[in-house]
Amino acid sequence: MKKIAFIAISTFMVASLSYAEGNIGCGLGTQVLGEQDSTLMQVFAATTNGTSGNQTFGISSGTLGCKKPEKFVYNEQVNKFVQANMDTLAVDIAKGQGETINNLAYLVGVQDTVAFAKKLQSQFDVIYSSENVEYSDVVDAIHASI
Amino acid sequence: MHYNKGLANTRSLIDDKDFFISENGKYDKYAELQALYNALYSDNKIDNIACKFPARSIFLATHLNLPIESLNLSECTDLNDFLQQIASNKVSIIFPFYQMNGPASMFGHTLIRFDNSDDSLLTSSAVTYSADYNKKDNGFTYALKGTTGLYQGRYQILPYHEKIKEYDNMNQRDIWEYELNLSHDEIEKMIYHVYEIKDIWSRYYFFDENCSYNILFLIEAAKPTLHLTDQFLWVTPIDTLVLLKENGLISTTNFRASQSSRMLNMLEKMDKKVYLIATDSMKNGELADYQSLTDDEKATLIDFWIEYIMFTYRSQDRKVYISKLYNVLLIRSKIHSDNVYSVKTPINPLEGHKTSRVKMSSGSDNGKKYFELNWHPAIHNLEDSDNGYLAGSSFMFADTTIRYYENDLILDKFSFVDIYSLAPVNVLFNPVSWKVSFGIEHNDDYNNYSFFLRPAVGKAFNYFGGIGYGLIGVASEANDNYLNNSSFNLDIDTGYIFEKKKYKLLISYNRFINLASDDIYNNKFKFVTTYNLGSNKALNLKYEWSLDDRYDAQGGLMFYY
Repeated sequence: MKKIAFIAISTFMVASLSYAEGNIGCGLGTQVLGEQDSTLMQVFAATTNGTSGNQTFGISSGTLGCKKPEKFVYNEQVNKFVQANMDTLAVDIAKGQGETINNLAYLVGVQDTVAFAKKLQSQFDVIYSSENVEYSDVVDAIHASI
Repeated sequence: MHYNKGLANTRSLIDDKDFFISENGKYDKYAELQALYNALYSDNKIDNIACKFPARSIFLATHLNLPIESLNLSECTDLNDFLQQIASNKVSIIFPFYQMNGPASMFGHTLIRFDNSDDSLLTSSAVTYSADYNKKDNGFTYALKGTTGLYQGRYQILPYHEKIKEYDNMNQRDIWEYELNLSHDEIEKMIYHVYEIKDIWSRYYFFDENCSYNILFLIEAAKPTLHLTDQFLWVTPIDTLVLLKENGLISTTNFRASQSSRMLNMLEKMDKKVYLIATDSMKNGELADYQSLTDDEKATLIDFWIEYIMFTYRSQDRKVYISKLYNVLLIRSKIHSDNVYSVKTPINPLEGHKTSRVKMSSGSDNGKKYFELNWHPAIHNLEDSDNGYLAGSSFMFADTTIRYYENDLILDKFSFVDIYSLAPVNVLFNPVSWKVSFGIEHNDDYNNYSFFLRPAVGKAFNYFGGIGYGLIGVASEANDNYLNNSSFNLDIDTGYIFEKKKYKLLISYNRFINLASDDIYNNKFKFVTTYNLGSNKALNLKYEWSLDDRYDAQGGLMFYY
């Protein structure tokens, strides 16, 4: 009974969809908004924290046609992490501190995260050699600078 | 197995047949148990059934005192890969905060995060339950299907950094992270349960079997004696969190400010010199001259500008975004500073009032004495304390007001929905404020009932620690006694809300101007004070004064539960 009454309610609610499709390419731009749903959808949607598509586990990497890092010293976890967090990692490296660098240090197995961050900051323009740098270049450069 | 005592019988809330071994497993838990036993131990064993359903297999073996080793779980490759990926010794429940853009975000949301270490939260696995919708469905269909169970609800597992992108960066929602008080064994049980259920769907029901309810099931898998999921007819995310707290399951709280909260915080804390350069930069769309600043001041300015660029350009052309971001990062990498910017943690939502409210008051309607009973099951009103809630927001469902005058009992008003979203304008954002309400109310002139619909839009501003607002809209009223059974009025609604310590103050002025006749209806001032008595109780005083010299005054008690 309650549900029937509430159906009427929800059809009038102003809403906006909270989920956007993952937007991971090979380089910078990981924070760029994905494909946005139509305005009508945004106005009336999202009673359901909906998601379309079957992202069950993690994000695919390498299947997007990106070149792979030269050094396979790091595991796939590091590659996936860098690829998915290119922007926030670049920000943290530019600042010489941050949660993304700390998480990278953890994945790579570095103990002294403060020194790691400062070292990477000093190498920012080597690691991010241009705005079109790809994640594999970043991984290789980080490996080289340690 | 998600069995729940429904109205008719006990049945599993899972709808996907793949979850059950027995044909009638959804409705017959004994048959299901028997089928499990047979699959594991009888002559009609099903190969690898323990690999597919490790949680229930371990459960059965334990209860029958049979050795777990005989289940050969170490040979399940898929299961072992999963265990390695999720490996964790700490579990947190995550609460993205309220946001007024839509029904789902108005209630907040909950998801689970399996943690390894404090330094690897970004790569922790986040488990969320949501509806698998069809992108081709339009808004109405979407709302309809979401509330009637016509979408499949599924669990999704993603790295936490993807959820942060969604909630913190795209939707600008603050996130509350609550560590759960669970033992290693309990966490293990939870993980096995997630494995069994990760590819399984159930019907998604917005009101009861929604995101937060299904997340509760995961926690119940860890502690089956708790019976967390029996307790609700309908549920909002904060209700589930308060329930966990009352059962001693919440240990520590961490607050993660959204990007917009971070940006506003940075601006607030800037020295005047830096602030002026920041606002100049925003006006011109590029960094103004900052050479006169010290290194730390430069860092403050640039760190703000980085967030500002990400915020402003992420929805525009990708190449432009990348170029702007890269250039500012180059500059920042040359500045050495140890600046950290922490946003002050707001009042914990767990400390907020509970979501259902009953108000009992007595008053005088221009001389006629009355008793009034007001009730709504969810969730928050402008008169309630904003502690733990989004200030300036009000969202009520099924708000019911009954009055008893001398010998007359009447339904004064029933609002299906009554929402205010008052979002103050600030240096970064210029949001639209709005309200909408509809339902039925008693028409005093004709002593019958009108159906009403009152949407309006406008702006809100921060004044002296409170929120001032002005909204304008068209109020529709349907009543048999009107010409064409309807009446349309220009709706002017303006007011000021202020909260300090235990007091909440609300002053408003409301006027209707009939669009057909230009007559003025409903021309009144309202003054409301709520005094928080603690323990989910409050005192409420209300005085309404119409400009045609009528008044309505009442005082009463509010109870939240």
